[in-house]
Amino acid sequence: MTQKRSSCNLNLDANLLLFTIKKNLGFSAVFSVLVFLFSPLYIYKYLTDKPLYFSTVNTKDLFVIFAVGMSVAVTVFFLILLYINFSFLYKKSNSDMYHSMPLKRSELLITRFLASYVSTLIPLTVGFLGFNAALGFAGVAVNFVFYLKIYALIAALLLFCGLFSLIFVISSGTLFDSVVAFIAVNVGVIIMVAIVNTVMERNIVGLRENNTFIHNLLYSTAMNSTPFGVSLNILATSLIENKIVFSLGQIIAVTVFSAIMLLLNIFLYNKRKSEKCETNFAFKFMPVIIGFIASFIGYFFFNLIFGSSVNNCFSIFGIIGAFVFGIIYNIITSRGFKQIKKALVVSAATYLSVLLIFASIQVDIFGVEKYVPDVNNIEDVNVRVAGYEFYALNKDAVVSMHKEIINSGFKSDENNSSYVEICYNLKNGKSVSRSYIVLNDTAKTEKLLFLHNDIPNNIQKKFKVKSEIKTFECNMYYTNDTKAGTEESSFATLPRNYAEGLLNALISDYENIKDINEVNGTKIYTVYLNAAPKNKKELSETANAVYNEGFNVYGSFKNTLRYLEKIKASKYMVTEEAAG
Amino acid sequence: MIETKGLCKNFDKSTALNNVDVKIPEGSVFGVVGSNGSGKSTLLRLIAGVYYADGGEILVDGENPFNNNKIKEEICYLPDTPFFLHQSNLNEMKKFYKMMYPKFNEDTFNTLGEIFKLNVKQRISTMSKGMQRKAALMLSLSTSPKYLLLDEAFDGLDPVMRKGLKSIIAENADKNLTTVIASHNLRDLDELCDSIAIIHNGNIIYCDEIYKLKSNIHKVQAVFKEDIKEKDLEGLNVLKTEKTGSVLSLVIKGESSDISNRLSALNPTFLEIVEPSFEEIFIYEMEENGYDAKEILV
Repeated sequence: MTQKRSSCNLNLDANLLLFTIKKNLGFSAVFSVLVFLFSPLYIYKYLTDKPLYFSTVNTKDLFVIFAVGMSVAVTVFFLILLYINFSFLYKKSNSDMYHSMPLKRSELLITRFLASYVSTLIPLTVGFLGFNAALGFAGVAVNFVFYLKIYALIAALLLFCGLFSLIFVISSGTLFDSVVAFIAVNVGVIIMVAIVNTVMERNIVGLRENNTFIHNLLYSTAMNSTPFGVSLNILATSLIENKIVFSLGQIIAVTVFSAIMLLLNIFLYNKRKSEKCETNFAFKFMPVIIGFIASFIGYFFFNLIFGSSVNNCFSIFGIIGAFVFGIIYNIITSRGFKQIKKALVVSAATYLSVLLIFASIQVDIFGVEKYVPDVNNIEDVNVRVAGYEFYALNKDAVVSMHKEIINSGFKSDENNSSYVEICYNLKNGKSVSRSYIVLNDTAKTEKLLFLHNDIPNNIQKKFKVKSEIKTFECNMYYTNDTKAGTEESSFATLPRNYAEGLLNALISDYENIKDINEVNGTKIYTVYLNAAPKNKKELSETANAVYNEGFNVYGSFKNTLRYLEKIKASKYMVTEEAAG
Repeated sequence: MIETKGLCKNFDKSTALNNVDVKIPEGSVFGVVGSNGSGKSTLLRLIAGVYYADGGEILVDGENPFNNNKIKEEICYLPDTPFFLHQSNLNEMKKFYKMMYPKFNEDTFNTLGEIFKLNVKQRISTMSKGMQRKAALMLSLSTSPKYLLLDEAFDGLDPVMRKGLKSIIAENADKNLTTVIASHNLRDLDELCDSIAIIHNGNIIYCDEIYKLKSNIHKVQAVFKEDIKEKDLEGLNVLKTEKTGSVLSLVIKGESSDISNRLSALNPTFLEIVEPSFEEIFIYEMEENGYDAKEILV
C-alpha cells in the first residue's frame, strides 16, 4: 500500500520532525530533570530554608540569576542537539544514505533544525514552570506575566542564535572543525571589534581615550557584534529594568537577520557537496574567514606583548604575530603542514587589511571625528562640563557648539580649557558620545547652553501639574555671600506658595531671554526646587532627578529678582553655620 | 531508464568520471566493474542523487535525480557501508524507511526477515558484518524500488546468501526492477547481469550486453610445426601472446569464425578456441588499458 508523504508547502516533513523529536526525547528528558534539580527544586529549598529574620525575599534578583543561568544552559543544550541531529553530515556512510533518500535537502535541514529547537523548548518550559511552582509552593509572590514574557524572549532569541550557529554546522566537514569555527568566529569577532574600538579611541579625537582593551572587550559594542552578545544584552537589560526591552527596531533587525540566516543555511546546504564529508570544511570561505580572524588577533597580540604600541601598524612584531597565528590555526585545522602556503597567503592578506584599516582610521575615512548628528535626529542631548552635568538642553545650541569645537581644530590650553562631554540620544534609539578638552571660550557652556533653550517646557514637564505635587521646597543659595576660601554660603528654605511663585517667575525669565548677551555672567542665586509627587509609585520610580532641579539666577532674570524682593526672601536667609 | 550523457565528476583536482555515456534499460540487471578507484561507486552515487555532476547529464526516467524527491522515491541506494540509525534495531529502521519511502512494503519486509533469518528486535550494531548486510538488503528491497543500486552487494555474504540474493534480483527483474550492481565479484556478475560497464580511471572502456563482450574475446591454444612470426598474425587483434613449450596461447579480439579461418590457414597441428571467463576478459581489457598486474608486483 502506498502512503502519502507528509511534506507541506513549508518544506517540512512532519513525520521526520516527530521522529527526530522522539529520538531527542531521551536527551530532553535527562536535561529537564537536571534543570529541575539544579534550579526550581534548589530555589524551593533555598526559599523554605531561609533564615527567619529575612522578612522578604528578593525574587527579582533570584529570577535574574535563574533566567540568565537557564538561557545559557539551554543555549548550550540547543547547540549540542544541533550537532547530534546534523552529525550525519560528518560521516560518509550516513551522509550518503540521507542524501539518497527521497527528501529535499531544505526539508531535511528545516526539519532537523526545528526538531532540535522544539526539543530544547521542553527543558526550558520545565525550568520556567518549575520556577513558578517553586515560588508558589514557597509562598512567594509570582510575577507570572513578566516571567512568561522572559520565557518567550529567550525562546525567540534561541531561534535567532540557533540559525546563526547552523552555518558552522553546515559549512564544516567534521565535528572538530565545526566547533573550532564556531568558537573562533564568535569569540574572535568580539576580540576584533574590541581591538578596532581601542585603536579608534587612540586615534580619533572625540572618542573616549581612557578605555583599555579589556574595558572595550567587556563593555563596548564589541559584545554586541555576535548574535549571542546581542541576545545576552537584550535579556540582561530586560531583566534589570524588569520589563521587556526589545525595541521595534531590534525586533525588525533580529527578524530580518534570522530570515537571512535561514535562507543562507538553505542555500549553503543545497550547495554542500556530499563528498566534502570528513574533510575540514565544505566551503572555501570558512577557513579564509577564520584564518583572517586568527591573523588579525595574532597581529595585535604580538604588538601588545612585544611592540611599543598596540596601534603601531608597521610593527615587525605585529607582522610576525599575524603569520604565527595564521600558521597555528592552519596546522590545527589541516592536522599538519599540508596547506601552509594558503595560510601564508591569508596571513599576508590579513596584514594588508590591517594596514588598510589603520589608514582608514588615521584619515578618518568614515568621518567619525567630524561627525555631528543632525538636529532633527536628536531626541535629547546632555553635556558635561568640568564634571557638571547639564540636561534638557537646546539641541541647536549644543550642535552649534559641537561644530565650533570641530572647526577650531580641537584647540586647547592647559590653563584655560575644560573637559567637555557631549552625549546625544538619537531618535532611532542609538546614542553618540564625544569628549574633548577645549578652550573655555569655545565651550561657552554656561551661556550657550541656556540660550534659546527649552528649559521652560522642561520645568513645566518635570514639575507637571501642581495638583500632582505633594510637597514643594525651594532652597536658595545666595552666591555672593560665599565666604572666601570656603563653600559656605547663606541659604533659604522658602514656603510652598513662595516656591510656586518663584517657579513661575523663573519660567517667564527663561522665556524672555532672546540673546546670549542677556545672560550676564554674574550669578546671584542658585535655586534648587524639590518636589515630591502625591503618587507613591512614581516616587519610587523617580528617585533621582525628575522632581529635583537646580537653576542659576542671573542679573538679567528680572522677574525672579523682583519676586524675591517682593517676598523679602532675604529674611529667610540663614548662614549654614547658623543653621547648624 | 537510467541514462548518462558526457557525465563528469571531479573531486578537488582529480577526475573521478570523465565523459561517461551509459544507458541502463528498465528491468535489466546492469553490472559496473572496474579497477579500484575507477569511479564505480561515484557513478552509483550520481545515479542515486547523492552527488551532483560537474559536467554532462544524468537522467533517471528523464529527470535529474539530485534533490528530486519524486525520482528518489523510485530509487533505493545501498552503499558498501550500510547506514543504520544509532542503537537501532530492524523494527526501528523499518519505521524510519517506512516514513521515507511511500511504497515501503511490510509484507516483503516480513518475508525477507524469514528468509534471511534475522531477529528484528536485535540491535543492528551487535550483528556481524554479513548480518548487517542482510539487514540492509532487507530494508532496501522492502522499499519496492524501481531502481536498486547496490554497491559491493555480495561483499560479506556467504555463498548460500549470495545465491539467494541473485535469485531475488533475477526474480524482481522480471517484475521490472532495474538493478545496478557495482562489484569486484565478476563470477556473480557474470551469472546475473544482462549488461556490463567496465570503467577504468573514470573512463568507460566497455558498455554493452555481456554476451557481446564475451563473444568478442577468445582464448586460442594452438600448436604449429614452425614458429609463427608476428606478420603471420597481422590483421588479428591479438591482446596477449604466450608460449609454453610448443603450445602457443593467444587472446584475440574479434569474431570467432574469422579467428578460426585465419589461424587454420597457418596449418596448425592443434587448434582450440575457448571462451574465457569474465574474470579473464576483465583482466585482458584492463591490461589493454595499461592496468597490468605485473606493474603491481614488486
